[in-house]
Amino acid sequence: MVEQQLIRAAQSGDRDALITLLRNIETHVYRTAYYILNNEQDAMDASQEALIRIYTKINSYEEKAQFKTWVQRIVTNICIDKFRRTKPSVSIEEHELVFRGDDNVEREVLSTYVAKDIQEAIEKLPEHHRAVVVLRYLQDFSYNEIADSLNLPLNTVKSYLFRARQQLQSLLQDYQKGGVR
Amino acid sequence: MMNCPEVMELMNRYLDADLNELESAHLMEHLKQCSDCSEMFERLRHLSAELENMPKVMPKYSLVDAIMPQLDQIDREREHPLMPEKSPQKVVPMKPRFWERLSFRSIGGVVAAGIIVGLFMVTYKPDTAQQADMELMSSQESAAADQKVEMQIDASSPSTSQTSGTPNQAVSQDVKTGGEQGGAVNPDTKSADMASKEPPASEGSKSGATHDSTKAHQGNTESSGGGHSNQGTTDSKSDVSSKSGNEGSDASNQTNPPTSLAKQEQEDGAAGDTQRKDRDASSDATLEDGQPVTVEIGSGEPRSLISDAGDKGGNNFLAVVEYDTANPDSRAEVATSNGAYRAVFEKNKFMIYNAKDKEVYQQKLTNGVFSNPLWAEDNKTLTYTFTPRKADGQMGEEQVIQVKVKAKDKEKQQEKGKKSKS
Repeated sequence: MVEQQLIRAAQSGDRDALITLLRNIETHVYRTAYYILNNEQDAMDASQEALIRIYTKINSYEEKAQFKTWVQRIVTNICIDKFRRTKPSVSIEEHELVFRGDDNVEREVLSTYVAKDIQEAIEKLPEHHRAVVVLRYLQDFSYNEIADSLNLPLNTVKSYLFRARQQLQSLLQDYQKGGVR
Repeated sequence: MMNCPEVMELMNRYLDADLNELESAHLMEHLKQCSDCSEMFERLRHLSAELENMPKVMPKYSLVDAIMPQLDQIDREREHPLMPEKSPQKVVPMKPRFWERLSFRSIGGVVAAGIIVGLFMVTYKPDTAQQADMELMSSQESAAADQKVEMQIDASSPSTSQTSGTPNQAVSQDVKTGGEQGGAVNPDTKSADMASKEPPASEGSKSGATHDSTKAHQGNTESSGGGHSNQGTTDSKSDVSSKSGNEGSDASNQTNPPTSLAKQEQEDGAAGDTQRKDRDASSDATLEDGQPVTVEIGSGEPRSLISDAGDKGGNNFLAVVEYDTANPDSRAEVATSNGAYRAVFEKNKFMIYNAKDKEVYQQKLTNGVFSNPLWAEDNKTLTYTFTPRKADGQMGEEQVIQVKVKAKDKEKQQEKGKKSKS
């Protein structure tokens, strides 16, 4: 409710309302950027860019969409764009990376930090899979909200999310096997 | 009775709280009977819990505060169209507008970088260069002898990553140069890119005077520093000093654009032009070198070009190595210069073997041509060009793909040890 009023005020030209709105969402914006880009500095840049875009485009927001999905769409677009520019390198969409870690050395090292492992594994996901995971787990979005944010069909969202889980699971399992956990 | 793939979907939907009671019951029933699925379910639940517990990171400082100057600027620009009517001054001078766009941060950066570059120019002597060379060697752990080899590789194949610099830098460099190789981006685009991030730089370099080119330096220094790490001014300083060490470093080595610029300025004054020429030259080389990529393998004979593993990297890039998924017999193989890894393209797969001939990585390949695989000097990063073949048989746009053998920390450390010893 409060948010809706702020949005309306912002759209009718109330600058303070718009700034307040931006302050309310900046953490969410940053969090998504951080986990998609996996780098603090890039995340700062991307979220600032997103906030500026929201500031300038606030009038193009229509109430039929949820504000939070509109915001997340902007930030994920920027991140995916950025992500492509900085590392078009390994796109798993084309090359399914199968980790055949039979090497004990490899596993030993990879099993040290859980949180780090997960982040590392997320980094291996293709951009859209990664975005789906981030929206699901860091923004607590439903399938529908993710679909709206990423402009993807619902079924695609599900299959991305399920495949991402599968892949994360097997990556982490590889990490664990040789580990001393 | 449900089959396991169906159950897999139920498991996933269970984790997203998307199951109704009946579906949950089905799932549980299946899990009781199927140990594989129930093991998988445990793992997924564990994973999902871990994902939910990921740190809720916060920005270090208020992002809105940080962008406030830009927002003010946007407001001013929005009001601007009205200004000519309201205000007496009809002609809006370019200069003020230009300066208005500068934030204090970027002015500070310009000034700081200008001072650094200025100091460098004033104090630059051949002797100093020697000293800097030492610094470079110690800080970057790269032997001076290697540098020549690197430069050669750089000139003909921009995808080679440099031993010098942090891994991060190497990656982003590859990407940039990769774009050039793909032909989509011309070398100048990059500088244009930088300039657009840093308005003062672009304006400055346009006017072309020596004074202004200093600004251009600054732009470069800043954007390269900002892009790679959060290290601040200290970083750009060390950049400058390492620059002088890189005597004669090629223009395509983008890490140090300010250095080569400064040097050229001293040598012939016309800094901007020279650099542009240099860049063009390097991109030409790329194209020429890249052309063999399109050579078709006529015969159906197996084709293997194995580069000499013992040969210090130099051999790899001369050979035209190519794998085409449309040609089932073709095969491409490249080994790292230290023999630690071998990358093999065959049978629609891309594999990396380690020194013990054990397969470490495997990727399925999509339809297309994979050419010029090349191991970087770090012996871990493989770069190759991928030209996808679309369903209608047309070739898509070339892209440079980079694969990095994931760091095994132990080995990394060993390698570091070796390097510092050498």
